[in-house]
Amino acid sequence: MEKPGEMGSERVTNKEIVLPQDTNEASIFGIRVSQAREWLFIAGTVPRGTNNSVVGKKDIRKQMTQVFDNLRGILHEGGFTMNDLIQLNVYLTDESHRPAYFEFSKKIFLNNPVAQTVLVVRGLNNPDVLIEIDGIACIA
Amino acid sequence: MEVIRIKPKHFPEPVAPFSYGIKVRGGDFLFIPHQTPVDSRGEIVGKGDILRQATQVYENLKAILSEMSATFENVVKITWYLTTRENWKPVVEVRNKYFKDTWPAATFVLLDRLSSKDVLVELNAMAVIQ
Repeated sequence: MEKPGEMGSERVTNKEIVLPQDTNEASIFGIRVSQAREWLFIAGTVPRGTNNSVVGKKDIRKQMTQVFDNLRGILHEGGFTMNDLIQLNVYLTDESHRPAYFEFSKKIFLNNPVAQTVLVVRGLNNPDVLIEIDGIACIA
Repeated sequence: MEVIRIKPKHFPEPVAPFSYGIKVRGGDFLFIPHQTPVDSRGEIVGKGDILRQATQVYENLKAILSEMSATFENVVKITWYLTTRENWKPVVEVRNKYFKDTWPAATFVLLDRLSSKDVLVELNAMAVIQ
């Protein structure tokens, strides 16, 4: 299994992947940040479109796509990129969506590991919202 | 220390006041664990009363911030946990009394149960201080 730290030139300057020596499990890693100049605290980001309505009702794939588009929008506005993310909390409302999320996010974070916690909760701010993500980014 | 509230131009006004993102330059971080509606004796106040419980939670948060010579303006992120969606509006109402115009980035999560069956709201927070 590919380990997240094996990404060479993709690594951002102040973000170091910390890997224990005796494991090949991809999820066992930490992220060390040093000398960060700017931090971005991202609110719980939901799959709302530009008119504030929930996009992709009952469609987790559409909602994941919209949430990540919104995350990119917030990061961009602050002068950050997806590579600057260090930590995410992912809230799902349905346990059965967990594999779809991991498959979706694996492609995004393959060369850019993020410390993620994925939780299944009873509900989010609107009954139609299936996924919400908040997190922290920083740049040197 | 500089705190900049982010709202992408094409994003709508939020459904309740909060910041989509908060950018911070400099300062120290304050990480505040789950605050529950307990008084200084550790007893849960306002059983069944969401307004009273939310007020107690915010008073506890205020006390912690004050200890660090900080105010709600220093809070950059809050996550609040409720057991029923109906309590969302009253909690927003209480929150708006404390935050005024300096909205933090916020996350709302609905859970089956919090630290006690009598607890209706919990909150954790991050702040940036000088």
